[in-house]
Amino acid sequence: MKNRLKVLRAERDWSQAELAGRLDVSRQAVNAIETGKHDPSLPLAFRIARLFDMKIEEIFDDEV
Amino acid sequence: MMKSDDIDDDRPSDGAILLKRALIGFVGGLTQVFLAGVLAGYLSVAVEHGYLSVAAGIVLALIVGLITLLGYGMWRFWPRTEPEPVAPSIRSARNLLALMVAVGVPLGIVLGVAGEGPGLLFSDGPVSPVIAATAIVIWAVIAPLLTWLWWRKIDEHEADAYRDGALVAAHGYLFAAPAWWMATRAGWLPPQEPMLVMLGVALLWCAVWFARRFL
Repeated sequence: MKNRLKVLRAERDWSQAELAGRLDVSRQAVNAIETGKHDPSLPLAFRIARLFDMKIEEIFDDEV
Repeated sequence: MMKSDDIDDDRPSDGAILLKRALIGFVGGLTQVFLAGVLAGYLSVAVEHGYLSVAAGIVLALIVGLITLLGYGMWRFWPRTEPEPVAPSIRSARNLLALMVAVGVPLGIVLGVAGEGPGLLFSDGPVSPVIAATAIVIWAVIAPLLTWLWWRKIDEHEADAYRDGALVAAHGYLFAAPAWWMATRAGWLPPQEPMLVMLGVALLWCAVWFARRFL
């Protein structure tokens, strides 16, 4: 699944580790989501959306 | 602008760093132990036979020099990373895992060498009730409890990697165990060793977990 996590994070000048800390996950998890190796669960997707004050579909795109 | 410790596109992956550390630690550590053994053996023989000559001193100094050089090389080439903030639950999970390794490995070595000959824990020979009871309590009571505590702390990415590893390992067992059993009946392989099979399953599980988690 495509996502804009890397761009959104860069806009806020956050490192992967910083974002991981805010989401209570590991940096490896953030890296895996950004690179499309891991699709976040619905609860984590909601946490991400809340953190960036956006809707889930504004961050994640399920179209190939 | 993104921070310098950021991703990370141009730095080695976590898996590459961990593999390099494991390689340096294992090969370097093993060589250090070997050299220390050579040093101790040479020194004891030299003292025993009373020929602590200049030549023996040079040989000993060479061995010490090699050990020091190797230690420096390990330190010099050890892959280092910048310290980074870690989420509290992730830190707890890592601490728990580190505790399990720190306690488990020395305990395993102690239990493994307890007894002599067929009484060794890591053999098929008879073992004393005390050693058996200790090993069973560690393996069947404490280890599951610690695993459960660790499982509650890890994030979903690691849980997925762990589950994938379990799935592959279970399938590996389902395919390999009957094949070995049939091969034994045909006289091609010795009887199945349950602990060897368990070790293979565990290694497969760990390999998949590592690949999914860090590569």
